[in-house]
Amino acid sequence: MVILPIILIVFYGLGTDGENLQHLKDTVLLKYIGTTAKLLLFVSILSLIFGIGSAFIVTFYEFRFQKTYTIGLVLPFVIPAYILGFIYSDIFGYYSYLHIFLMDLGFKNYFDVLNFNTVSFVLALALYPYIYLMVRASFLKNANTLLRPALSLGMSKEKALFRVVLPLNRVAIVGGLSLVLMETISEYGVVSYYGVDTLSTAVFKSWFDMGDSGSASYISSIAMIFILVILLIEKFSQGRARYTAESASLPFEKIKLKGIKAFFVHTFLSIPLLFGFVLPFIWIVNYTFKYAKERIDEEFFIVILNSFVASAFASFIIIILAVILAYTYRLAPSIYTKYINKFASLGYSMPGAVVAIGIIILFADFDHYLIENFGFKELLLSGTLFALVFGYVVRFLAVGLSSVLSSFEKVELNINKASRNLGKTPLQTLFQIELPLLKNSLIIAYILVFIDTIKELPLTLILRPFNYETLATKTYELAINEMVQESAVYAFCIILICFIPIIFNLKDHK
Amino acid sequence: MLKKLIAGVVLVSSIVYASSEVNVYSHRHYDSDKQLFKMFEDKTGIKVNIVKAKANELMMRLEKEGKNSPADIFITADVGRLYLAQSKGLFQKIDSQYLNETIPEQLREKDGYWFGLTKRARVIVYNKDKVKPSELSTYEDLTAPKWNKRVIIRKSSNIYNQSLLASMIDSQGREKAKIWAEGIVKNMGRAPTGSDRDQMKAVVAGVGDVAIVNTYYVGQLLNSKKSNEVMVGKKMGVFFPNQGEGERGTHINISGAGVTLSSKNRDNAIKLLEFLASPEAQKVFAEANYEYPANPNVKASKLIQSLGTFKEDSIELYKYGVYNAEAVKIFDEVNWK
Repeated sequence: MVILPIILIVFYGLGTDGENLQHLKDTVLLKYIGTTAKLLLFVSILSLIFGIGSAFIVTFYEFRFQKTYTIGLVLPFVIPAYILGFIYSDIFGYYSYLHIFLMDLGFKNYFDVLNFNTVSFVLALALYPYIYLMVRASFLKNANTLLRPALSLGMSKEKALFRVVLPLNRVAIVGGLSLVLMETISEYGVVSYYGVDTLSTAVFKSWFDMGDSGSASYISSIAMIFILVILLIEKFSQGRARYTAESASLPFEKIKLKGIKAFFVHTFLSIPLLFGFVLPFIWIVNYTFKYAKERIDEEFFIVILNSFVASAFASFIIIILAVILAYTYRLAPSIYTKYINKFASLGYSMPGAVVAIGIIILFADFDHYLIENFGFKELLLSGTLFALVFGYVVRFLAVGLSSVLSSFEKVELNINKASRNLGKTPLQTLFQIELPLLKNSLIIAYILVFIDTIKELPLTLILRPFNYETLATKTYELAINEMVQESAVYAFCIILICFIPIIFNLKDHK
Repeated sequence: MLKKLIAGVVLVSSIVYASSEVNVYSHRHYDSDKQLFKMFEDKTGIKVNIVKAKANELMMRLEKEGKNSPADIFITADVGRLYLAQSKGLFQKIDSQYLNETIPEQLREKDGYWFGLTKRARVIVYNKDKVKPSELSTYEDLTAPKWNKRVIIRKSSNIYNQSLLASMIDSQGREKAKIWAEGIVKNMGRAPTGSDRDQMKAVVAGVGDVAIVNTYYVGQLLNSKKSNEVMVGKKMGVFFPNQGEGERGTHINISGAGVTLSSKNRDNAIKLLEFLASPEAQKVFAEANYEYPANPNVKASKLIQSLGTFKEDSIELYKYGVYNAEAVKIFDEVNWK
């Protein structure tokens, strides 16, 4: 069911001739593929540096504000990439206050931010928390068993990092990275505003500009090839790494840092924190206070409620589906179940607008069928909240599934076997033994999905019912009308809502 | 008996339901529109329901929902999309004496498939410190060597650029239109990126000296709450190109609407369109968003009036839609990002 819209998109146009395909091939397609590959590379490198580097430092070292950093480094996650993009253009663009200030000081040359490099930087900042979160959880789990022995055997710290820590946490690293890459491929908002043409651009161009679904599905399949490569790498990294780890991690001693080393650590950590969160947050707070009066009316609270309800509900369904899929895979890890899981995740790698069209096709056909054959008077599902929530599920199941899968990995398979040997059914085992053990990981998975859905924009715009606004659509509406500052109030609410669960959760996690 | 009663209740309630609302799919994301729909609701008691998204995506939704679509009105910010919706059979003919009398012929479809509500001109803006208006003449002139590295314009995926090129395909043929696009790419001060406002900021920053933008963005800059944007607006001169003897006039585009073929609240839909064309509503369009009102009896905002009057390109607007796909292809061929 969840895969249907994706299949529809990929195959929808295959029957048609795709008359513009040759044109695209002759002109822009190769360039777009090149740009996509380059963007994936840049975003990977940057987000790996931010993600692994900071996870390593906050896990294994002790220094001032270490706990603040630990929580703070997750925060860039709550600012949607498109908002970050608008904010950066507002702060650093031509004739921004900064530029004027520098001109007053006599600086002649200034840089253009509306380009490829900024997009790479912005996407890496917005997405590295996926890697950070997954890798840090993995580090915490493995810290004692892996790093300590290596160090006590006389390995240098650098060597230990590359020889022991990174290889043994590769599942988490690649898992986080593949989420980052899929988000990057499906990104359209920031790349189009900054004039960077990726495969998403080509899909939009052929389908929405030229009305040519044939070419669009062809290009979508090229994007799918990128995704398959990513998934293969992920699979390769997991290899036979189904080792059963220690079930409880003992507290371990962190290495204390002082002086020049501490200074370097602070500098390193403050880059993602400062640029990914502090700076944009100050901007948002500043304009929130400036425009709050004009923007806070009855509609404002309805918008918050809409966002909250749809996201909470969709995330709930996603986690339930993810648990079912992951548990099936756990009990019967065949190629078949594995590929079901991979396919269920494909929605994540497609632009939200494209997924939305797939769902419209699916539901409209279904509704027409009901009307023609069962005497229904109007469209049943199209244009309803159900369609929207369904869209979120298709799009973000991958996020829930990958976190749930990795949290199942942490519970020893022997526990499951033991329980069933003692006569419990698989379902009893799931509900009485495994889920309680997984409670914390599931909550984290829920939060991740919730944040993703509340930030979601393109799919929401197309699928939403009449008069339905979310925080994301309101932010976008103002930003796109070039009233970026006024959108701050809504961006602020997105951040605030995402904030609460994160803080709560990290508090009892250390 | 009970059955009849229920049927009756359903019938009555569906009539009441139907007669008290109108459903709109709109590409326009402006606060002014919200205000207008509110005015309409207060005046008529007809509830306006809205879904806002990009025109092409809404069109696809309309198409797939087909004759069962709940939408009554489809509003776009560009005439090319209106034409496309018409050619896909999404609109129905509307014969409203009021609309026909109020909206000039050029701004509406001849059979009543769609009606322009506001008008915008795509003009040349220049840095007053560096360029004299006497150096400017036509869109075509911007491809001359003297403008090398001095022209700034946004991406080709932007519908206003597509319509501008489509108008050239119509007036001069594909070959000449392509040569023009090639010439502009050659003279670009930077690769296209950002919004119309960003183009003007880049001009003031010296990345180029002239830009092609829609008039209302100038108004928005001058009335911005941010002092740096007002500064940018003040440094911009506005030039209406192609005004000379025998030249075709400045490129205009419309934001407009049509009643959908599937409409279940046709009368309300017409009422809403008539209201949007009325002086009362047109004034809001003009003042709040610095667009030119479609209704000739309503004046543009003071600020827009101060830019002066100009000769408009008299092309039949639907042609932007006819040549849209061709324009998109030309942009790709000449590597206009």
